[in-house]
Amino acid sequence: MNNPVRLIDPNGKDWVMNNDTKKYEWQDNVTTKGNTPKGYTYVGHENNDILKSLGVKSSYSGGQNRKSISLGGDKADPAPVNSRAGAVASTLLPAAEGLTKGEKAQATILISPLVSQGKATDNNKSGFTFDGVGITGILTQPISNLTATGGGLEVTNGGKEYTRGPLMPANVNNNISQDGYITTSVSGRLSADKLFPGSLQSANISAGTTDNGTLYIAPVSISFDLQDDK
Amino acid sequence: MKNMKPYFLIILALSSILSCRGGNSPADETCGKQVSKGREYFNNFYFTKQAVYLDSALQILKGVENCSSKYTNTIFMDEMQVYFLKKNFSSALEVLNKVPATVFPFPSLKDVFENKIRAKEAETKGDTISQRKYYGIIVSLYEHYMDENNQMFVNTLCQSEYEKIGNKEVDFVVTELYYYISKTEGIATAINKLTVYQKNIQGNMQYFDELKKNIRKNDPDKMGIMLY
Repeated sequence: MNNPVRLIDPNGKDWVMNNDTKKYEWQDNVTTKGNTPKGYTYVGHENNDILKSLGVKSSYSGGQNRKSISLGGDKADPAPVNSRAGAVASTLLPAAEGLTKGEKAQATILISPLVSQGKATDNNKSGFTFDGVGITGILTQPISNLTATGGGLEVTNGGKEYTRGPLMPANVNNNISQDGYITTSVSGRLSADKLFPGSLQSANISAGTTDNGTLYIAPVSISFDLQDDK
Repeated sequence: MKNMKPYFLIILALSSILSCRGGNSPADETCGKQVSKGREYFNNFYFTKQAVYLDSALQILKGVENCSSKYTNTIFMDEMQVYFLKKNFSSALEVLNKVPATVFPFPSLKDVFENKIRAKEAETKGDTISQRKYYGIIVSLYEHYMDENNQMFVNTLCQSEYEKIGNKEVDFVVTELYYYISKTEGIATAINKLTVYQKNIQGNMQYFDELKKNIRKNDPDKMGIMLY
């Protein structure tokens, strides 16, 4: 930080945002915040700086403990247990084990800027154009009869909900997945004209099980506040 | 007729073996598939919020209500959820009442479901006083269960390995209880009560911290709260 040379972008060519249209533009003659033209906000020279300007991170992760109730069958005899008061109670202790199957689903949201090389101009000789963002939802869960399928990804942008589904087995090398787990994913994109700082609000990955051996199972529903915890 | 007796006995013996092993009859299999199909529609509703999926699920479930005794309770529970989501609370209570309390992991869990339905009905009517009253009953039911099984809760919650606590039956009850305490007495009180409980039993800090974090976030989906 003591070396001012590190703070200089030697090649120039940075992203700026048009304050009126909220569009991101690449300008060859912009090198710093200082020489950003009037009417524009300096964004940065990395494509990911656009994400920062939009107020989002490139990845989010979270999990959900799935609660389920097994279908009642033959129950063991109630086991006597001591209550806090010291008395012997006869609650159906062994049966309570049917409350959950110990499943945990993990979700990841990946956001990446989509930049293409289009028509060159005097101030954008490479023709860099910000096309929007790609959003991928990934769900990893143990393989069992309770594995959740279907569902998909829901993204709220500018107050409007966009959905993509269903979740499909992810196109990843299974070797990188933990044994006994399955990864499913779905991807979508939001075009640049729909994006502005703060517009990407939330994302949710949901899925459900079709297993008929449970009395009740909570669906997978993992939400992310995209503008939170920047 | 006399010669048929051995065959009859063989069939009887085979069916006994199958039933002992929990084998499925063709009716069971057909019914099971329909239940799965109903759940697929049900899941589609959760994802798309289109009510038409609930109607489809209900139609399928109603069609197999008397198909197989193996799935009767599952079907009624699924119908109960569909009616709950359709905000038809009287029908939700009606089908829940058809499910015997003995099929639940502990009998008062049926009462928990009943009060969840009543609380949602009150919420829909804007009757926050009744809603809080039903939430309070849910808290009492879970507290009573915890009280009666105190040692099981203490033993589980004091384990040093987080993985041995999270997503087990004890976690199920504790999570639901403190979620509803946060609804009746506020998030801050629920967090304070969790802190006191953790100190009293010297419970696993990681587990309690994680639960407090989720209570603060007030995200019932993430906590896996049933039918809220």
